[in-house]
Amino acid sequence: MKIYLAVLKDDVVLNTDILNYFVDMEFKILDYYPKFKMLKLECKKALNQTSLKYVKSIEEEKTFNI
Amino acid sequence: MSTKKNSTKYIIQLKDDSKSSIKKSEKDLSIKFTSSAELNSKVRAQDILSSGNGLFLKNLGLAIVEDYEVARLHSMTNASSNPIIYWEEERIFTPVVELDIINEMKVQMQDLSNKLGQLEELIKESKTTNADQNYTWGLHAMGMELCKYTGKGVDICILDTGFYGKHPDFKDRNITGKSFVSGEKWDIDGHGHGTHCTGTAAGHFSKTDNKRYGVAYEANIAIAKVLSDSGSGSTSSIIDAIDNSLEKGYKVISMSLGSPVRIGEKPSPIFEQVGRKALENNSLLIAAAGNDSSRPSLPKPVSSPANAESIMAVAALDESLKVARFSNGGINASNGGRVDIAAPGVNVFSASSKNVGNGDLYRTMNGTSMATPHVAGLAALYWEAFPNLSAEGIWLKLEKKAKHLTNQLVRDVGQGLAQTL
Repeated sequence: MKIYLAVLKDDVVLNTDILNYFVDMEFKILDYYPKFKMLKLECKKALNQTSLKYVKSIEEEKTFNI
Repeated sequence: MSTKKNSTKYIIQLKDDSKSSIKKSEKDLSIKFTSSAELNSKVRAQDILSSGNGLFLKNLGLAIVEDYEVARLHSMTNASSNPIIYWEEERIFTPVVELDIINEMKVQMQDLSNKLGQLEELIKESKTTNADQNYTWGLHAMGMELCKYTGKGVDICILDTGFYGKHPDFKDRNITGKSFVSGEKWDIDGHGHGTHCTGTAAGHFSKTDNKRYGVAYEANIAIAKVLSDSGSGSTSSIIDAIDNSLEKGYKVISMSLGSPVRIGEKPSPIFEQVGRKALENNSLLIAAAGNDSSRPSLPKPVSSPANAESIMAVAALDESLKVARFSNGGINASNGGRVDIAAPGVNVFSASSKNVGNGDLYRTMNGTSMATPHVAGLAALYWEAFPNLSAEGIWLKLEKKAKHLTNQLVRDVGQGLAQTL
């Protein structure tokens, strides 16, 4: 499983249709950060295997160190 | 009981000292002159004057009278036939050299008094209550000795490994916290890095040796544990913590953490979004430039998230105010990965967690991680001084006030060494 962080497009309002879209695309929604219009997603697929609507940018979760 | 009236003496210059001239003077002044030649131990000058007579100083051609009518002296001096050509009231003389010294001393004392007054004001303003305090080299380099601000009322959030909640130096401080790492509490800090950074940003002085190591010692401290006790964390934990910070309205968010990037790699749009939204919410994100370099031969680019345009990137300096050998530089500046400012990051003394190693309460560490909380603490001081400034305004002020470092590249130290107000 891979964890992604996705920033929604400025004109997208997170509603049931949008949430269902991600589920249909085999993404599990783990969290939502409203201040940043950002979703935390889980998916089996790699990013280069799919393209997503409603998303301005997406990247895989990274590790940060001291 | 009688009171002796102070008498006034007048010195008269006669036209000549011939007997005829003296006689004429005696007649015109209605006074008898006794020659100084007649003075002896029994006939003293004061006795002559007190009796209403005048004293003629035969060697000088001058006469002395006491308590005489001034108007009469005037009229006789002006008359062409009068033997008196000049008169004046007796004056008091003191040694000229002594007067000069006294006057000079008065000027010097006034100058000293002014300087002491200025010093007194400075001490009062700086609220330096403990005269025995000494400062870490980093605080000294930033000019903290003369700073009157304390960060009072400003919230600083430290995103790190947590904080040792029982540290005696923070006993009476306003500290809140939250852990974003599953299964680890925010107030334990099993690593020590977070306690060290918190100490630098918002600590005060060591209660054991009185050394001042913290910048904003009256700021409110918020701890966000986003790194585990092994020192690592994830993007989502950090973003969750920043989201929480913005929700709480924290002004300064310090991130002594990073993930290396390659040369030419663009900044993360995720963190660019986070940094931009933070600025819109009037919060300033400050992050470590990273420690991947091996200077002078191999400088590496500023790490993520510090490489985002909307996040302030901090480089580390050593005690000679040169860029630290490990400190990353603005190699990817064209993509936004600049160094914005620099701060002390080598041999930095601060608080530590008792839950680490041999349980010492203090520790000396190196890294851009140590430089970052210096700037975060300063940002709190600036916000205390300029409460109406926006986050971008505080950022600009920090850069504008930074001390230019000669022989150091902007690529490596940005606008220079961060300075207090």
